[in-house]
Amino acid sequence: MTGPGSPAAVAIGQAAVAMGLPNPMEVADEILQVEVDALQEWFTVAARIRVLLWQGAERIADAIPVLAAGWSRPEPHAAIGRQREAGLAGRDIISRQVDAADEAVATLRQSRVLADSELSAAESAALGLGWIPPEDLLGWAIGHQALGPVAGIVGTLQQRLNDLLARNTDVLNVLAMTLRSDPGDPIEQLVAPRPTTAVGSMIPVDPDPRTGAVPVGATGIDADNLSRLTADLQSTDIAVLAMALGVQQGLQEAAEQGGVAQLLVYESANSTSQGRAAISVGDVTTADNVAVFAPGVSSAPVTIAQGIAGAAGIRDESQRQAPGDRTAVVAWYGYDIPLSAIGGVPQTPLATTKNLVAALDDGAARDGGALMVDDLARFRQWAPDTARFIGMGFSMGSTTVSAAAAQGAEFDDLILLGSPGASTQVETAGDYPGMSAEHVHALSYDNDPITTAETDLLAGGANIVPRFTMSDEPFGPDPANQDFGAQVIDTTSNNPDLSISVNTGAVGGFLTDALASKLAGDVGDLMIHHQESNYLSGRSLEAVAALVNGRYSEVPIKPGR
Amino acid sequence: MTMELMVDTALIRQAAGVLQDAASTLDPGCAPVWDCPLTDGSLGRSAVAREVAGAAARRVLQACAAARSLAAQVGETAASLRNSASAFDAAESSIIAPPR
Repeated sequence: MTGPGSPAAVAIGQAAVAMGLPNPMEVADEILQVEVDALQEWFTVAARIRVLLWQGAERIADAIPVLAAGWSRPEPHAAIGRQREAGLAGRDIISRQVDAADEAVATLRQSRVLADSELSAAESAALGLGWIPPEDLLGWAIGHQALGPVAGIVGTLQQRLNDLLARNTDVLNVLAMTLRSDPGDPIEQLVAPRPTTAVGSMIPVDPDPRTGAVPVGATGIDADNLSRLTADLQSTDIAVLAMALGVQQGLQEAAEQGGVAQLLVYESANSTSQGRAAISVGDVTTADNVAVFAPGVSSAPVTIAQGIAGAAGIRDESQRQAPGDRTAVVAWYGYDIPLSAIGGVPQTPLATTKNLVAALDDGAARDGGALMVDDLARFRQWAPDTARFIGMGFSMGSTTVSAAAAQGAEFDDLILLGSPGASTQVETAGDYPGMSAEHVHALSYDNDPITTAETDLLAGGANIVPRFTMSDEPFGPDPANQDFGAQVIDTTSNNPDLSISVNTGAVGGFLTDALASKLAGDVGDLMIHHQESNYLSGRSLEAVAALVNGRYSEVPIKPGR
Repeated sequence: MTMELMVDTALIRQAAGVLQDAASTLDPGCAPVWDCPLTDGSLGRSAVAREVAGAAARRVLQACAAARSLAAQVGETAASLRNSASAFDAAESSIIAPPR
């Protein structure tokens, strides 16, 4: 057999499709193209480390009786004993991973051989009927009264390939489970038992009484920002002072909820700008996963404390699902958020007007995306090399995060929540540089009107601006649409629908009443379903947290709209 | 309550030597960032295949970092033991020094 691309295989695949069956050659491709050698090669490294840890632990054990004989107090050799045990515990984790990888390698390799064999068998069976490739197999079968045997060949091939793919999935699931443990955990716990006052911090200290920030170890990655914040807290400019106070409150909130709070971005507000700020709940410098969350319209840095609860909720759920992994969630208020002037710091009338108009398209999101690219590059420098970065946003924040990824922000995954559009800078999920469509996730409730070709206007200012329906796509394509090609998360709103019936009392006012009821219903849906907290609770939060941990297999996916 | 402390600095130094040897054994000598040959689609397009590819890349590097970290800690312990032995020797020599 010459593989799924041979004329015979192609003809068999076309026959299957013509019979309304899935193309078995796609399954064959999936099995045959698995890079088994790469998997084996990579875990050879782990196997070598497993041996080193065993040999090292044995050598440490040799030192224990010598030290016990030379130093009568038990503490010194007990401490060395703990180092040995940590090494062995790390080795055990690696061992389970290597064993599971070996099992996976064997199965995946065997599946390749068997899939190839099944293709050969199918081709031989078809040729045995008298068919000569590349003639259309189904057409030939109809013309030679061989439809039954050909259907049997195709169906059998389909079934056997599916069985092999299922075997592969099973063995990968086992490997995935073993890979959920970090072999470094026992050794890290040996070095620094977690302090109770500042999780993740090497130096447990009290929060700065002026800023509320908890300094992080000796790294001081946010020292400059904290200095500027401290200076702004002395400002006589009401806009500057108001934002500084808001950020201070946000830091205090983050420190309370996450143990470690870091001020990763801080640019002062003034009479024409709401300023920029980003606060991390959890320590970015030690995190395995860093989620960067952009809020929707009407949020402002001065109210960043309100966004900390959401960030802390994502972090808590992520760490609940993966207790061995450390997660930091950054509340990123780093773009000129439309409608932020409503609850933000005082601005000039012109600046306020510009801020309100910014809600009409994705201009602010695109500009903010460029800022996020730079911010993210800095965050990555502070984080461990192996840290995963997840960009996520709600409403206009999702448009901003998407625009950032389109402009080259190095995210490992994107999560677009309640999105009005993925920005005009992309047409499909395959347009993000350096990221495949499988890593773009959309979560849009069907009863959230913002996600269904409506604008985001009412999201934060329902009571001050009129409803506005755009005929075009001012925020870019709907990421939950099937054509976009993202992974669409299958969860439903946590809130019940609201039924609103309006009776105007007008004579013959049936139509008026119907229109008014529809409008009231949409506004009700907006206020009930298009809420950040609604997207960050229940099964939606569980799915988001699973993605933050890179546990794709735990995320429910459905076809796009 | 008093407790008698007995030390043999030669044995402490011997233990430190063994630990130093253990530290050398533990050091995997791998680069902090090693290129994983697995890419996103290496193991297939399914969610679990992508999950494994990503997790494998991280966990092997973390295993490497863990061995290096333990090697460093054990090496520090060896150094501490040598320092302690020197301190014990110094303390003993100051105690038994003849009066002027």
